[in-house]
Amino acid sequence: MEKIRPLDFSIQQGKLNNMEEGAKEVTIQVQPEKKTLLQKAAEKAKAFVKNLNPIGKDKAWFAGLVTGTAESILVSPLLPFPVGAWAKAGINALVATGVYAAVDKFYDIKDKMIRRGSASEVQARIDANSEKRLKAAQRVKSFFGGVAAGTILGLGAQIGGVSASEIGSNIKDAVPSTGEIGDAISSAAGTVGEAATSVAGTVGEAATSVGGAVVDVGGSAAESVSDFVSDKVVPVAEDAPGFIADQASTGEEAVKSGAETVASTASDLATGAYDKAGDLYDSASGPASDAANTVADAAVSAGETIADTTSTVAGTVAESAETAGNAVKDFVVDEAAPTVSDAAGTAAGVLGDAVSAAGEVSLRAFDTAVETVNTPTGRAVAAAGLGAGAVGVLVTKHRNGSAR
Amino acid sequence: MDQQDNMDIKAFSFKQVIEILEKEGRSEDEISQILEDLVKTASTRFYAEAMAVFSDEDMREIEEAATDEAANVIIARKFQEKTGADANAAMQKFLDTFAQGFIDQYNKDKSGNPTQS
Repeated sequence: MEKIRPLDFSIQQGKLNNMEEGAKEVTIQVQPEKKTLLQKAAEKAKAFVKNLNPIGKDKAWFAGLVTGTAESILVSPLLPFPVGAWAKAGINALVATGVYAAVDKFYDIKDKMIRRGSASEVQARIDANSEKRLKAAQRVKSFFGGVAAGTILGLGAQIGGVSASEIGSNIKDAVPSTGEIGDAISSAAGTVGEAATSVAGTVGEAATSVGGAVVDVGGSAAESVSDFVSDKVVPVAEDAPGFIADQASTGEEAVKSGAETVASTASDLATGAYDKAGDLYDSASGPASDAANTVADAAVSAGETIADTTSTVAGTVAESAETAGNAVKDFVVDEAAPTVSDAAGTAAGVLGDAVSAAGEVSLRAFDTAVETVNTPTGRAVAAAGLGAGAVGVLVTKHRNGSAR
Repeated sequence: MDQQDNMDIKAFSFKQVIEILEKEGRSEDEISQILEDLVKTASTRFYAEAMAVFSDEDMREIEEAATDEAANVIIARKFQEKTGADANAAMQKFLDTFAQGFIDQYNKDKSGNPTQS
């Protein structure tokens, strides 16, 4: 046994030609005179992967291997297989048949590829990716070269019994070095899988937590809404009819009060006018005509005062009604719109009736005042005034004649 | 049937290929050449498929990976995303199918229906 130089089959390192950087040294114990079958295959595969570099001189070789369209690689029954050894061995048809079967197995992939575009389009995409991203293309080639070598030669390690005398324990050391790619990928995949599982778990927990928080917030919000409805909306809704009734009552009272004021004022004025007329009648010894005029003026003034007062009271009533209406409106719009519209309508009707009633009272009061002025007493006062005036004229003429 | 059983059966199929080659008197050099060619064919086929389905963004990510090991992980993941197939499993399937096709054809030849070589 002797130590030979390291087998630099570190495909995963991407150092395909030389092993200066990051090379992984593998010591293989072999019998120099008897290289094993798989060791020879491994060395040739190593050379193949080394020659995959499209930037170097082997690009043309690789392009030749691809030969034309992607479709030829994917679906042709006779792949552009390097047939040198096969032809020499007289087993070309066997291998071709095996390869055909393998490719045929992947017809579903071919269908997918064709659906993505024509063969020439696919080839154009391959070329574009290769030329645009040389480093990435090299990495992809190294990756699949490593996967292929790891799978084929790694599988070979399990058939060590085929050439037991030649393969021996040496393959055990040689194959793992080539199988490192597969192991590395499996390990990476496992790590990724574990990480993904961990992340998924974390995300799941986070989602559960968020979901719980959402539920809590939703529950809290629902409780808040419920509390708000119970504490604020319901009482307001319950109070609304009373409030409206109060407002309506206030408006009605204001109208009534206004009407009473009108009636009272009108009555007072009428009484005052009546008293005034009586006083004038009683003191008719003065200039009758002046007294009559004064009575007439007083009567007119009383009527005007009554009219003005009625108007003022009516305005007050209207303002009260408006205030009450605004209050009702604000309350209805801001707080109890949906539920109190009927009540508001009722209140408005009550107010309308009240205003109407106040108007009627005012009108009656005015009419009363007018009627008072037109009573027999009033007319008597006026007649008395006129009579007094006539007497005064006669007296005056008599005095003037005597004096003559 | 677990994964190890499957692997054993596949290994058996490939073992048969090598046994046939040895039985037919092929030299070690010839057999190792066949293995090498298989590696070339399989890697070329999957390389072409990957390059056809990888997008510009995929290639950019692969190129910008800090290390080749990190790039390998990205390539494996993206290949599975784009084709639905695990690279190792797909390669294994390719090899298994090759071995089975080879053996079937050999048996057919031996039964009196030889294939033209």
